[in-house]
Amino acid sequence: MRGKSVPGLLLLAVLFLGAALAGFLAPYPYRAQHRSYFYGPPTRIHFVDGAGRFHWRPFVYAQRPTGPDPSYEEDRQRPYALRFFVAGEPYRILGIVPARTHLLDVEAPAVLALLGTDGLGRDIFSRLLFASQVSLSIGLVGILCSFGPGLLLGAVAGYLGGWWDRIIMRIADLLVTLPGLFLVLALRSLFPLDLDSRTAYLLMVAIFGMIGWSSLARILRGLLLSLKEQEFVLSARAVGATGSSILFRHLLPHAYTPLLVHATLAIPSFILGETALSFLGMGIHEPYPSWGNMLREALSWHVLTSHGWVLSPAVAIFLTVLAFNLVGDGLRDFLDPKTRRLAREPWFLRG
Amino acid sequence: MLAFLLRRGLELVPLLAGLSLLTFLLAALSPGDYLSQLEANPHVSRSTVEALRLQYGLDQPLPVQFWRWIRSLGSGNLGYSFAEHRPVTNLLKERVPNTLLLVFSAYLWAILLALPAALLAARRPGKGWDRLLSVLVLVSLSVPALFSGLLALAWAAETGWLPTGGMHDPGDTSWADLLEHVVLPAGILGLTVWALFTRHLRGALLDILNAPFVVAARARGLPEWQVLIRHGLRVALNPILSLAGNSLGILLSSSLLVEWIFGWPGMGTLMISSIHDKDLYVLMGVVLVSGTLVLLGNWLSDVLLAWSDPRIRL
Repeated sequence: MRGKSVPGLLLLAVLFLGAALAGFLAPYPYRAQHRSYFYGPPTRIHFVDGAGRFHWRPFVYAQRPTGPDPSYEEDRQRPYALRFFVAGEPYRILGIVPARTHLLDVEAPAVLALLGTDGLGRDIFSRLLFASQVSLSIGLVGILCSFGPGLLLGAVAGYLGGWWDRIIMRIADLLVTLPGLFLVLALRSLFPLDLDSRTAYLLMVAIFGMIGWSSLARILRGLLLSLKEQEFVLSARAVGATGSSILFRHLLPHAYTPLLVHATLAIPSFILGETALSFLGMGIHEPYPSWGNMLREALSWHVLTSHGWVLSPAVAIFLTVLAFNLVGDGLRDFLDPKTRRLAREPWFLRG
Repeated sequence: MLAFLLRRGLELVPLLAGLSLLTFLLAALSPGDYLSQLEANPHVSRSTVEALRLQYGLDQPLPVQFWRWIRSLGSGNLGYSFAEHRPVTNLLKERVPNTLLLVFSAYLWAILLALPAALLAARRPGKGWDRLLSVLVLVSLSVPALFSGLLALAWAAETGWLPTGGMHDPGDTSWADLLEHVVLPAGILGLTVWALFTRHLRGALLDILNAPFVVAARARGLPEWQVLIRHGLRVALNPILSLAGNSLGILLSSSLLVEWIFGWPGMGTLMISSIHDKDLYVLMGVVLVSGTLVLLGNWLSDVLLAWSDPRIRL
């Protein structure tokens, strides 16, 4: 079943590369508006022009509005060839390295909207890429923030035991059982709703960290409780190892793999938390794109039915969660000998 | 059994206490207090507000306020909603059953469909049905409620076969109308639980299908489907019960988004509107009730598990 991880990892690589190279891959900046092409359908890329001539360089046509709904038709007068590796709007790779080169571009009256445009005529494909920087990074940052307190409190509860264990675990129980989104929203409501996007990002990370440590601490505690009774711990103690060296050198290395699986399966919940908050208007705000706030457009069912491409951020969320689930499931199947046995030789008694 | 019930019930007490403390801290930490809304109202004089503050004990230290709050909880008083101009308790009495209706419908179809799915998958692991279902399970676990909900909404709007939101058509309170409205949101909501149930039931079935008593049943010539139904279903009960308890929190969480998308008048929409209206006491009430529901649900599933499996009672 390790086969599951490989497509998952490939998908993740594509998604994260897209986020890292958003500035290079996106034809337009996330703010750029094409006011004469709002709710425009995805641009068709042509190879053969009206006269039936084949072009080696793909081209697009400019769009002409034909109705108020809005609807558009291609203006076949003149093809606009796609330009590759052109200098354009400056951006920073990973927020550090300054660059100007863009992968794809097209001359001005024509619009290259691979996934259509939104109500303000902004290219959804470009916004999707920039939004993935927010939505994907919050998953990673969230898991990092919950790992610190989770490891610390889980280790304290599992290794020291006693009252520490009882208090920490009761709090963790409470945080794990309560419906997560209700808790997140309740904590979010303590702060003004119209926070600027940067602060809202930090706030979301803080909230996810405050809640996310609990399941991690529970897993680590359970592992430590069963591990610390084993003989290798006794023998380490017998040769005079101190408490902390037993914890760090003998116990925690055993917990790496289960914690890794847990982290892989927990990242999507942070990403979903961010998209839900931004969707509800309590996270990242316009003009900054996030997968969640881009979907606010789809709340009007008129837009949803006649301009279905506004749903593309939802597909991106789905693919991301799917990728993490594939990797996590693959890892778990691979590490857990019991399910592996069932998967490999399930019917050995049936002949 | 009685001892188990009592013990498990006692474990509930610190959790409920923790929940109410958490809710109270939420209110204490939020900027302003119960009367800030009134203070902003130009028709209410400053001295009235001060008098009210004294009357409600808002000038007292926090532990005293907490104690008073617990006492008022005991008498079923959860405060007053500023946006709706009515007691929070009334509001919750109206909304909580709606959410529960949604959640239970989701559970119902999820369990009813997970049973045959798991039986099909476990019959020949790694073969056609199992593969197809494992893909379906993975997709259902990965598809966010935002995506499936909006897609379902688009489908309903496009075909017009099902209503696109709300709980009733205006003026129509019949059961048939309610059923029409509940199908889509409950269908979307149940997707994740269906996947969880199917996956775990399949695992549980696979575990027993090689167990000695099942081999013995086969050796006696029992047809395969009878083996699955007679011995398999009995084993399926435990994972269903424990999962039903464990997944209640997930289900309530995603019901918040589903309710928002479909305009379902439940706890989720109430929570979101209370945040936008800064309706603090409604917010506290929703957090308290949703938490209590999950804790009680877990307790109930534990009790049922103990009833179905004597090993757990020890």
